[in-house]
Amino acid sequence: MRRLMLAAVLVLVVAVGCGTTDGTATTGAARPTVFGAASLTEAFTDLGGATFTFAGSSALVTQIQQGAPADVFASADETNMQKLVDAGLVETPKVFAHNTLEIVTGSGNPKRITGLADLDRAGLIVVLADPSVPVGRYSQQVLTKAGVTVKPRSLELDVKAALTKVTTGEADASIVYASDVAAAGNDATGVEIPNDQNVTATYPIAVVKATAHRTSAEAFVQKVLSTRGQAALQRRGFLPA
Amino acid sequence: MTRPPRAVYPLAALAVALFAVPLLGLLWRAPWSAVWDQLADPDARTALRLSLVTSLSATVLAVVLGIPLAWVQARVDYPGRSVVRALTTLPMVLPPVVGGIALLLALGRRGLIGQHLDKVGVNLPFHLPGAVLAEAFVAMPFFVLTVEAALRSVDTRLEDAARTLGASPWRVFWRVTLPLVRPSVIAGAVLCWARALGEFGATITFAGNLAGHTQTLPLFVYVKLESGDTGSAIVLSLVLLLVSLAVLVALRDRWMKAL
Amino acid sequence: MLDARIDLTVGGFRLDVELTAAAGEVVAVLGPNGAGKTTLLRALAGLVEGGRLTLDGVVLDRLPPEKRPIGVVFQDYLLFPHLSVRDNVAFGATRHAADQWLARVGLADRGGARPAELSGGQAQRVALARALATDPTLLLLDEPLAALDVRTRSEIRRDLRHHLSDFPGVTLLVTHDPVDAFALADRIVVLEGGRVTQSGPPADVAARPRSDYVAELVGTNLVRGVAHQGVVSTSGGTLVAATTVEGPVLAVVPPGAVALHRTHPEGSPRNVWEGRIAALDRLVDRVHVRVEGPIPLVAAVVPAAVEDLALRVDDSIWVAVKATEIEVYPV
Repeated sequence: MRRLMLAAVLVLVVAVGCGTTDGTATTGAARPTVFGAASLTEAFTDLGGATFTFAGSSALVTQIQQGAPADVFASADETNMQKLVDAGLVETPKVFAHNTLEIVTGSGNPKRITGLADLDRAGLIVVLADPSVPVGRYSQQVLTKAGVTVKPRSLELDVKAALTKVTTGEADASIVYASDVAAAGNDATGVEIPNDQNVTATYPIAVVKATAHRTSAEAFVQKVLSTRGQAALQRRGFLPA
Repeated sequence: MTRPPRAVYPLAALAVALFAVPLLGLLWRAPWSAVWDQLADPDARTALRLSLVTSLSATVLAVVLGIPLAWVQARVDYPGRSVVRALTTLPMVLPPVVGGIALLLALGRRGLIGQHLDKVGVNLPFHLPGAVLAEAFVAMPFFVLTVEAALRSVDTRLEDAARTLGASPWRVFWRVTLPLVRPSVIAGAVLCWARALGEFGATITFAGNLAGHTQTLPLFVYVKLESGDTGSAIVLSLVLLLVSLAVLVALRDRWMKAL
Repeated sequence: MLDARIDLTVGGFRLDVELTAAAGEVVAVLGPNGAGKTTLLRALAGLVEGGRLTLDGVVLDRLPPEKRPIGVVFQDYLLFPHLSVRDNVAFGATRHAADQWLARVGLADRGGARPAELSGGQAQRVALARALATDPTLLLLDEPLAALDVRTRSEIRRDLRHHLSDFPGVTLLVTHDPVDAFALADRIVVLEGGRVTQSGPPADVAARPRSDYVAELVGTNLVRGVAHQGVVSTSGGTLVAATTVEGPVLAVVPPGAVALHRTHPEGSPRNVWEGRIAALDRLVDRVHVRVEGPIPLVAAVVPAAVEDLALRVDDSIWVAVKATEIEVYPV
């Protein structure tokens, strides 16, 4: 018991120590904290220059509403951003990227899916993102446009979870952002959705009004909009603003 | 009985506050006027029913498998016993989502064992049994640890006495050992059930989220939260809390002395 | 008829015991704590492995405990706390047999009680009834009276004696209390350090102890030496005794036969020497005076004598022992 206590105290000391080191670095470089939609994970990580939290856009909105210490918010749709604008919690948003949807299948497309119409095929396991997150809502719009009714086996809570179900082979197909298919690399194969059936996701970014690091927060937004930032996003499958 | 010194009470009160304050937060923000509407929502009821079915099934599974495990762990001295103990305690410290991924890699359609199960038509992900398994994975350690500790504290000489009275090891277990640890078996099952009822991470990752199939109440609450329907999420969280609290309180006096 | 040879090693401790007993015989295994008494009992019951065991000509070595016709009354009785008294007794027998046995031990009206509600003596009787209800050929009792308080003890001992005399099989009881052993047993087996050091009827064991442990139990002095023509030579001195035994011997000197004097005693005693008082132990009706000297002995004197002689620790004192009161027997 005594040894256990000692170990616990040691862990605590080390943890606090680490925290202190981090804190110093943050203050020195004034790195902004960026809350980003899950689909932005790879592109923003490439870009760097901030501390990132990636999650479903709506979860991030709830956290910012409850006072989470975010300096910048980058959403995967305008609806979620608008909630913060309406609440007066962010500055005027700027659109920094677009994204389209793609069908994602297992590596090499073993089920030979050619388009949305194949997704209602019997025996095909399809998962979709839940309509409560942007990609889920877009997926519904795309399927409606194509006139296809899909019975999903699961409504995943963010785009990455939907992608994981496909890359692990649990599901045969899903609908995700083109950028996510690009991010999955060899683990998945994308099937493009024609423009007339597709929707364009709009990604707005805004500085959080309550930020304590306004300068560096604004600098990050500028960086995302800059040529270098746009190039980083396009490398990850996003379309320009 | 020696009462604790006075300085202990504020800390104990702080501990109570740690539990009570978040609960107060929920009560404070609950949309009381809409409670009835939320409860009448058929999706919510489906999720609640599914939660009860899966958590109770997971508890049954944990009891059926957990008693033999606890019995062996408490009574058989074999090399690697501590490794097995660590292994069976792992789900308590593992982030549930990681547990869900691990289950997927083992029992999923392309998983280590799952690919063979798939051939014989057994599919766990996206199906109710998958949710039960995910919940059992996370909750069973609570049962096993409670029962194992109780089995260790049993005076094994009572078992010896039963043997000399002509009872086989099976009969000794049913007639003597199990009755002696019954309070702990019940307490462990209740703890296990409570943990299974609140399970989220492993279930969503392994079994997915589909209303009427694998969407348990915690998943439903999360979806409501994601949709910005905070009021509904709060009401349903309170329902979840009330159900567990009612059971815990009801059992406390009679059965939970072992805890 | 019991014929057993128990030979086993537990955690570096070796127990090596041969035991035989006839039907109806009560054998007490007497020994200090750690002598291996309980282990012996557990081995006979089949709860630990090691040794061979034949009961009425049937070899039981390989049988698990539940298959052996052996009843055990455990130390602390080990009644099942979750079962009623009646269910305890019926655990290894029929309900009918259980009721009969409860009546025989005088507890017919306590069948519905929980073990926790019983007095120590009642619990002991239930444990005995539970063991006997299985109709065993060998009855084992582990310290059957140790858990009882002094007041009920002699009554329960009489009771137990009565039940044991009715029991047709072999009874083996282990105890560290000589009173129980002498009161209940037809024969005593002394167990020390995992081995039998002495065995025989209680009177013989008391009269001719073979170890310091037994001598202490029966409250007498034991001297080792070599006898030649009525003189026992020990490492420290010689004792003159009225004996014809020759060679290595044990000599018992009862404490009551050791006289103490302030000055060199007059008269007939052949064994006289001067010693030093090492300790004074006050008992109820006498005082044990431990005297260091050529042959260390304990003398028992009445309390008044301690006053009269003004005995104190470290005092010099004369010791006298009459030759006729020394019992000498071969090792």
